Amino acid sequence: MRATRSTEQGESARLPSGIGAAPLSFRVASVVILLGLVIFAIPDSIPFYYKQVGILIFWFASLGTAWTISCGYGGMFSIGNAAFVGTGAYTSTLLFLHFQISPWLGMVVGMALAALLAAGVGYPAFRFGLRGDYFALITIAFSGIVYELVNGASGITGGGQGKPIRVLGDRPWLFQFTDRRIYYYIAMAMWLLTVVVAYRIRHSRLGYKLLAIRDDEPAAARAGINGTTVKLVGFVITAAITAALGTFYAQLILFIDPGSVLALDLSVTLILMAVLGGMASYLGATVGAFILVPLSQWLAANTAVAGADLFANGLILVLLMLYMPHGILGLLRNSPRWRRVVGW
Amino acid sequence: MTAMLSIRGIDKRFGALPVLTDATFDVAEGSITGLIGPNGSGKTTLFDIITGYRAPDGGSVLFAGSEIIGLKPYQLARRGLIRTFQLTRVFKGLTVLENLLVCDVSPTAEEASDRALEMLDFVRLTALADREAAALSYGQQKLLEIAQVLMLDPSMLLLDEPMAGINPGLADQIIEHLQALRAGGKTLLLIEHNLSVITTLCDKLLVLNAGSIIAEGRPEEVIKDRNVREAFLGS
Repeated sequence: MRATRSTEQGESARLPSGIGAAPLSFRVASVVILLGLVIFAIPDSIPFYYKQVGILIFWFASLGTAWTISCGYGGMFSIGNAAFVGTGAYTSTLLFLHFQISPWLGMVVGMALAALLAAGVGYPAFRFGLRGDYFALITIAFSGIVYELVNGASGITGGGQGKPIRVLGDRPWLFQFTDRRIYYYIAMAMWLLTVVVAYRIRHSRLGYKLLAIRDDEPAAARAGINGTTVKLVGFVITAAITAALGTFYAQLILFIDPGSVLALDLSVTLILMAVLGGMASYLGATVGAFILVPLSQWLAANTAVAGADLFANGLILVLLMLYMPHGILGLLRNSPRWRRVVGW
Repeated sequence: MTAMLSIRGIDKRFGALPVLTDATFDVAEGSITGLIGPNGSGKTTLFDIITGYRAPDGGSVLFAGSEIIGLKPYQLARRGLIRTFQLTRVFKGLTVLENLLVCDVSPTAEEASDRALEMLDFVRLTALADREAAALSYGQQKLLEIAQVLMLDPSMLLLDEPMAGINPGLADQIIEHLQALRAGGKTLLLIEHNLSVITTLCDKLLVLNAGSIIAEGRPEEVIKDRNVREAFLGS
């Protein structure tokens, strides 16, 4: 019954994936770019503004990549991930302000809390088969509820006025640094970690299952895949990573309020990063962030029209839907080699 | 022979329309049983009920001696009851190889990879291993789906028109493979319109008409039955 497999055939089906599958020139260029990004922040003469833009690029790239795990791979179109950013930011900040617990530990608690919230929202939604637009609406509602709860509990959270975090100078254990470069390197490390996690998931059984469910959930069930469990795992991973990034943002700005870490426009912006780059690729959100963050920052700083950056985001989203629904990296998906590189 | 699958009094209505009425039959372990009937006779609905995709209005389904009504499709798949769909449903965003890896039940990634490559060889899709499944022709997707269900190592396989859209050479290969599965102790139930395939493959033939089993027995005898010829063959 089983045909004999030739060595050549076996090798053809076991070609490397990820950057390892790319031509040598591309791999060299990737290393050069990565090294360039590492040394970018080293000169002290780099203005604060540019360092901040660099940090935000990695932050948004990480947020978009985390979103890719549940949505790009698993098809769970969440428009409420700001709720997880806020969960991480508020958990670590409030634990620090009220109990003097290090934000590093608060980050872990925030991740656990976000995972629990994701499970609480995700389980009934997945169990009863809510998907697509209906799941998106659930996540918007969830995000809105978290926003209003935080906004309303002003005695604890500071409400709409927000909560400043005391500036303590160079206190690494308390996640505070006077040197902006440290934040840049932490953001870069978090981005690298998120991309590696997304890459590993894409090439794992969990990744195959998420993609199978995204493509055809009834057919995935035929393969013995429990859609509820697999989607829940994907959504929880996304929530936990997103919450960690929320803690980072709170410590970067040293101030939190619902408008900055829980607002709907944050959820939409991080989606835009992934959609522009290609939401089915572990590198999509990174490509998107490297284009959109500088563009948005430039528009916000250099145009007299208020909200020009938000207008540009909306316009880009519409144009993408119409002319490039698979994003920039989606243009490579018909090439077997580049498909392996970008993890489509 | 003991029954691997026992269908008892299955009823199903879609609104006021009865689709299945008291459908009752057995499928013997290690056999190939064919299911034929005119379009709209309820064959696919019956498959949907057996594999947990639809709930019946009444009746019971015993698989390997256990009641399976109420179990979900993924639970039945894990018990070894696997189906294909009338219209091929592969995972179009995955590569051909990944389509098989997602169905694998091997304990290690290495074994999974080996097994997937063997299956690709069998259905002659090795050269397309890294291609997106969406890029395959319909016939190739049909072959990929058959390879997928074989990856799952089922104890019983329900095939919904497995030969549709496949060239005669490959159809012969699939027939050989299905016979090999039976020789290996697997149980098969297949919906098929090609009577030569049915007579070549099947130990037993069931005829479904207007939601009821109107004949069952050896294929060569059943297709001579006057009621069957009127209902299915129109002569």
